[in-house]
Amino acid sequence: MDSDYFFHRIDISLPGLTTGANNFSYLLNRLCILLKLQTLKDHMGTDPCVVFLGGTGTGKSTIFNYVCGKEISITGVERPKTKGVIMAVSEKKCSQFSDFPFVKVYKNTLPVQGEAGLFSIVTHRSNIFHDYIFVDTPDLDSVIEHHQDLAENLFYLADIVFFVLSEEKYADLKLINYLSNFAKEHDCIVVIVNKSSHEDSIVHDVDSLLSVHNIRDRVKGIVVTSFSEYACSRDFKKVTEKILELDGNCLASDNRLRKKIQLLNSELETIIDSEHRELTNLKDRIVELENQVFGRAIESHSEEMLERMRLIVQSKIKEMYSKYDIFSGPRRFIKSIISFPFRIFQSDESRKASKDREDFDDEILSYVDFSVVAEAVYTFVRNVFDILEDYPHNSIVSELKKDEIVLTESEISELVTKGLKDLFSWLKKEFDRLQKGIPKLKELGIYSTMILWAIFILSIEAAVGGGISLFDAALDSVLTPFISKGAVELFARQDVHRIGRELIKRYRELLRSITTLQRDRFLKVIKNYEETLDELRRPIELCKNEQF
Amino acid sequence: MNSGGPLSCAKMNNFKFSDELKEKLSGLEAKINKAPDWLVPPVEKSRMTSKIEELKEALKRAHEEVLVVGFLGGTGVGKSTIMNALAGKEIASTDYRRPHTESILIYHHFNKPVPEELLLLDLPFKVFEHSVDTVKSLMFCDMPDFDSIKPQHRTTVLNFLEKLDLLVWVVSPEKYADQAFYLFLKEAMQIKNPKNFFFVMNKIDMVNPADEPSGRERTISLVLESFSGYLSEFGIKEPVIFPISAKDAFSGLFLDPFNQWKLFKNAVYREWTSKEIQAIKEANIEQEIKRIARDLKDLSEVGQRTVDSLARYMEVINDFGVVLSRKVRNLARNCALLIIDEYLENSVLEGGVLFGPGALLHRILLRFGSKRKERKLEAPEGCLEGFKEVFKQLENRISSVAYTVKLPAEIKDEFSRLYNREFLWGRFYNEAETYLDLSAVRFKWNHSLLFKVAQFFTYFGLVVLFFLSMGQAWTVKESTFSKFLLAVFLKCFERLFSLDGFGAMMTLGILELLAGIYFVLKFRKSLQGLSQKFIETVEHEIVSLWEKILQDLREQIKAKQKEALSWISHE
Repeated sequence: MDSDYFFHRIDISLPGLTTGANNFSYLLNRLCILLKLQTLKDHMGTDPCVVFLGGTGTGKSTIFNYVCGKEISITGVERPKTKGVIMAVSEKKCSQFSDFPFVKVYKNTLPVQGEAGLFSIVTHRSNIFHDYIFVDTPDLDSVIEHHQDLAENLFYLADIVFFVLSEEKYADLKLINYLSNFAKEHDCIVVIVNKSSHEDSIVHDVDSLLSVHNIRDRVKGIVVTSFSEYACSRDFKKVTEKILELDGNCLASDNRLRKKIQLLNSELETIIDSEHRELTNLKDRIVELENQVFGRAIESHSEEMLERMRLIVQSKIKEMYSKYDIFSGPRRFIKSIISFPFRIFQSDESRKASKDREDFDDEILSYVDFSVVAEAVYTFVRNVFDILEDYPHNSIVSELKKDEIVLTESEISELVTKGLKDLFSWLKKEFDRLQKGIPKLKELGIYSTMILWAIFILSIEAAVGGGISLFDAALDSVLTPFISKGAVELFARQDVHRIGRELIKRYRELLRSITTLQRDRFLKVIKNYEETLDELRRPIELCKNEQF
Repeated sequence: MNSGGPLSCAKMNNFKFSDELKEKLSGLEAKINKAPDWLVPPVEKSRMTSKIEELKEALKRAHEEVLVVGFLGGTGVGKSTIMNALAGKEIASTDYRRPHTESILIYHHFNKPVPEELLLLDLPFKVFEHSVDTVKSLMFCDMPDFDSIKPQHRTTVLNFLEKLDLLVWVVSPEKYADQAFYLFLKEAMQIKNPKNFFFVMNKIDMVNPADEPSGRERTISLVLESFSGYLSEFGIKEPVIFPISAKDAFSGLFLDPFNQWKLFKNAVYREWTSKEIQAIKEANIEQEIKRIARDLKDLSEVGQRTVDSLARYMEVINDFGVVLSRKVRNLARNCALLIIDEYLENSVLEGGVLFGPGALLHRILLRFGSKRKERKLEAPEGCLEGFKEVFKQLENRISSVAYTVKLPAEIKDEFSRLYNREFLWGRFYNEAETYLDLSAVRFKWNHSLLFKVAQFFTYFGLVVLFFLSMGQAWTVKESTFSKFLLAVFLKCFERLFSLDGFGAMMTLGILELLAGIYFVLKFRKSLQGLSQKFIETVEHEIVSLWEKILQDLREQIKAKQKEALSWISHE
């Protein structure tokens, strides 16, 4: 069928974190349809609307035709017969309805069967009910499920409901269930048991049935008809009397349809709100988890790594500064002689550390144990999946568990290696800058410091020792190289600290970035759902914008 | 699907078919029993095998000559009227008030009693006997409805359903399009062969009774076509439909040409041969066998999914196992270092590798060695605790895969046992501990004898030299060795308490110290080489223990995969 105005199949994927989420599409479908019906109802104004609902084969359309005064709706043995909505209005009202896109007006070609997706509008010939609108609906219990949905919606148009049963079907579970549900929302229902000639016993049976379901007081009457040859006019009288009886009371000033629409709207909004709340909750928990995991796992590891790196950086920087240290040669020589006996105090590793510094990145890489990062990531992922077990298996949970979301081992190692390479190139750049020129000022500073120290020592010796003897000179020659080292150290230390601090910071960021990446993958899925939820905030607007 | 209703069943060769079915049942039973317990839980297995036993019994009893005919339909279609019409008298009560029939009404020949097991079912029964010999092999059952507001009616019908052989589905012109009818029909088709279904459109007298015959004919055939169409949608391709009016038949009125009551009666209310009866019963058993086969197929599909999921576990073990190996290596290294430390602490001094000044220096170093302080001085066994973390991580990683695969909970539980950390850890711990204990014992520096002798000679030699030089041994001229010694000792003692002596003692001290330093250095250097090798060996061994655990895991997973696959492909 081409545009079926009453047959939507909206299928929106909510996160599904709350129990109401499953109903959402169904309710939204209903809301949109009811909004369309509202426009129709507005046109009906204060004209009373009687809707015929019931089971297949009960004789709904037959009764409808009698009330309308002519054969409008096709009846017959082939079932189901009524395939769409048939609305009978008085002649002068007919034109009012022709503007609706889902309406088709039949002037002469009667009787009609009704078409799915359309309101078939015909004129009725009733005098008593000249401003009434009668609606014949498809059945509630046939094999064709689509009919049931349609009839359920049309129910809301009614000021008076005629629920049609038959002698054969008045105990059918499906129909009684429908009646029960309708009675909960409408207080102007008349039950007609058709094709029966046993009035008293049938009324009695139906009465007790209704009482059992606690809806006896909601039903305004039980009428038994047969519309047989002999009973036709009598039955017609029964039905019309009933209608007239209810006339005044049943036209509620407050439109039932409007109320239902409001109700549906707030129900939908509530669902959206709870989903949104749960979603935000989930988001917060994931963020919190990542904080915890990073805190525990990475901190301890980075301490150790950074110690090593600091050593490397330190010696590299000193190496660079040493070119300003003019006495480094002789100093090393003197030092090696004096420290020979003390070499045993040097640990093995720092001895090794004084070897070649050129390829420090390979050395660092050999220390890097990115299993720590991987472990942190997978602990995080596992904790997130643990949380997800609390929720029913649904849309968002399966999205979050998809293969693409969790980082694989190779992805992690790639990221870490790349990050380290970036770190090293930054480090190299820093060293290059250092190489290129410890700024002239610093150079001057180093030399001047050395000279000052030398002068200071000499003057003290002179002052204290009364002149500079040979012994003093000898001692000085040994000490001087160490003075220059001191001066250099002074200036180098600043750079060492600066670069060291920066290095620590960047390394931590690198490790953090990986767990954060995993977290962000989760959050992206959540964000998509958040956006969907935002779009759904005003259900009525959605229907009006005809997005479906 | 074969058409033509129950009448065509009789044409089949009974013996071959019966054997076929028996074989099928045995085949299914075998396949169920071969299934691994973790794939098909024992509860499910026993459910299916007891069903198969039931069917085997039913197959044996197919020779029994009672055909159970049931009348099924919604409330108000006229089943009880049909029953009465067949019986020729009113045995089932009918009413226009609904729902009516509450119990199962059984109408049987007095010589063929109702089977015990039927009556043992906890259902409401009313039993009537007849003496019509032509239909002595038939047992008619009027059932309650399945669509009224009394749910107990539906349960009664459902519970009795499996006992029926022939099913007569009754509808009326008013109710033939009711959804409830078709839903129930679908359910029944799972356990009863549609070949054994009759369809009856009752109350045909109520279709346009005032019309003239040609009009009525048209209408009735429209109705029948419509009904046929719905049946076809639900899988009954060429249904046998009898339009009847049971009411008219019962009251003896046969004015309606469209009332095919006689046809219907002849089809059902007649003598059935035992071959026919057997064929019908076997056809129903076949239907149930098909259902079991379908269930089994579903289980096979689960098995296949399981195999695929296991492949993912395998991937993870491979990838992540490699990542963790690094950590294992570092932890092993740590253990080795601890063993070395222990050796340096205790064995070196206890074993007397170093002594004298060397020993003293060594003790000083131990106290001030910074790196050793950082390795918390724990026993080597304590170092194994660190590995627990590794197993925890492996478990974590595999668990996160487990969350993403879609498998039944029982199967997932089964697998979680495989990589359960306690289990894996226990095995690893025992082997690693044994190994570490052994290697701790084996780690020693072996040149002790020569080394000790060298130390002894050096230290002692220096003392002797000091002694002799202080005593100016070259100036002492004595006859005997003991007198010589005494003279030297006295001279030495004399000179000791002077400035020279003090200087000489200092020199001795420094020389001993230097000697000690020399020996300590020499010891440490060669120990370094030994340590290096030791560390490498320990790392290698422990890592291979770890890899063995991983390999075991892989193998167990492969075994499970193989188990599942061989069951799935087994015919």
